[in-house]
Amino acid sequence: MATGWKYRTAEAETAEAIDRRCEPRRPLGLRFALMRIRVETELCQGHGRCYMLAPDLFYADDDGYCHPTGERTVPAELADQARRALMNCPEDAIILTEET
Amino acid sequence: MTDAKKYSLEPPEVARNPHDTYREIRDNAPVAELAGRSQTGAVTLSRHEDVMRAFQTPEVFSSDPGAIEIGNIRPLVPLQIDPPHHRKHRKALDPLFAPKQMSKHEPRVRELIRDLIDKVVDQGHCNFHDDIAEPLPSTIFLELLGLPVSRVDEFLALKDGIIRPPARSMEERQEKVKATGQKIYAALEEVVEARMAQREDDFLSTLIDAEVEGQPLSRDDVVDIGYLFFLAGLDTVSASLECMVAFLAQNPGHRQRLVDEPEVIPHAVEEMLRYESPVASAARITAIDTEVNGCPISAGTRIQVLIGSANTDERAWDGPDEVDFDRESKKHIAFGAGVHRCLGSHLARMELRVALEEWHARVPHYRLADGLELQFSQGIRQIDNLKLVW
Repeated sequence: MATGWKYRTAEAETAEAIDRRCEPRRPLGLRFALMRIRVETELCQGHGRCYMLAPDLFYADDDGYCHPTGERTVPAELADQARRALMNCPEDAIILTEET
Repeated sequence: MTDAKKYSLEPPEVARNPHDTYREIRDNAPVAELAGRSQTGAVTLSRHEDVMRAFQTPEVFSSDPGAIEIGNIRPLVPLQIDPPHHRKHRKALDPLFAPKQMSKHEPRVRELIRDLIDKVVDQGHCNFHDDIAEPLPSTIFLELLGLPVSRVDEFLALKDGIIRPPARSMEERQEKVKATGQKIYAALEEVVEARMAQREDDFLSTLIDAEVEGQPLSRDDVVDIGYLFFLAGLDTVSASLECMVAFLAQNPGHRQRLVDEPEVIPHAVEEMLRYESPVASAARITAIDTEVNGCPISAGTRIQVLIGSANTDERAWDGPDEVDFDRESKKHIAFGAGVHRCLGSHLARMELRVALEEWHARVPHYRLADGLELQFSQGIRQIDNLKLVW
């Protein structure tokens, strides 16, 4: 079962790109399913699976915990990464909602 | 509580291959006192759901020093501190071990493993424990912490004196552990004293200058953090590397995949951490009367949290006994879970990845020495006699 997952640590450019994408506003005029993601900071214990497996959505902060945590829209091309992060958090700290 | 005295994790063949026993315990005695001299009065939790509850409710399942006898006279910081005080110490320590910090040490780890491999590669055989898995993480850790690497053999003996003391009875064990603990305090206090006079570029110096909520750490705090690092840093990565290489030596298909596709190694590390669970269990003690799976447990009961069983529980995993480097779920709890999740996990992952990369680049084909019966130790699954040939 090949998954084609890539392993990398988010580089500085990636972190900036993620931050730029994390404007909490809701894109206008979307007609497809809208996926939103956030992290329960009280539950996150810094296992690091999310930024390992969803490197375009999360990166490690200076303490090794996932960042960013606030609710935001997941771009359609990153939906798979978002589901992967959800599935792999040992603390069930990632909250993913899909609406139409 | 189910009478589970017939189940034991202590026989050598179970320590070597615990999965069947884990399953029997999960199915028949999920909340139980197991057989074995170290188990008296301790209740073992083995199902993923129960293990997660123990990790995630520290107000019930406390990490108070009463949970385990490891020779210390004060609580280890932060392992044996419960919330809310736990958080402030962890806040000071997390940045030291964050992935960004750890990646700075990767070149040194790579250099050291290459040197260690150089020493054995041409002879066609080695004791992987003595020659690679023990010196690599312990040297790195002593360098990071600031303890003299020249005394590595002495420190390793002290660590083993706590984690696996040679003893015939529980009383003898407790005495040996206590005596060894005093020596560890003395060694740490000596170095902390020296660093208070003159700082170096190491963790102990950083801790001396660290502030927790505006207050400097006390000298005892620094020593108590050092004691925990000493036990954790000198043992767990060695055992993990040994478990992984022993598995790969016996599973040539999996080994060949790492040789052919080194980019799979990070995934292989996660999957072998799950399957082998080198730190097989964690200790807790109940702070209040509670109930698990309908079974009452009174306050003050020692709890053995069976990480290895949770990581192979078919209630939580599809095909848990298959080692699949492409497994979608990497939700394993080999580093524990909840507030006490392993502080050094990012260091451990980096060391394990780099060691497997370098080893398989230089020694792609290897197997266990003929007729070898691997001897795994209890609790933290070290393999002293991991003799390989190639």
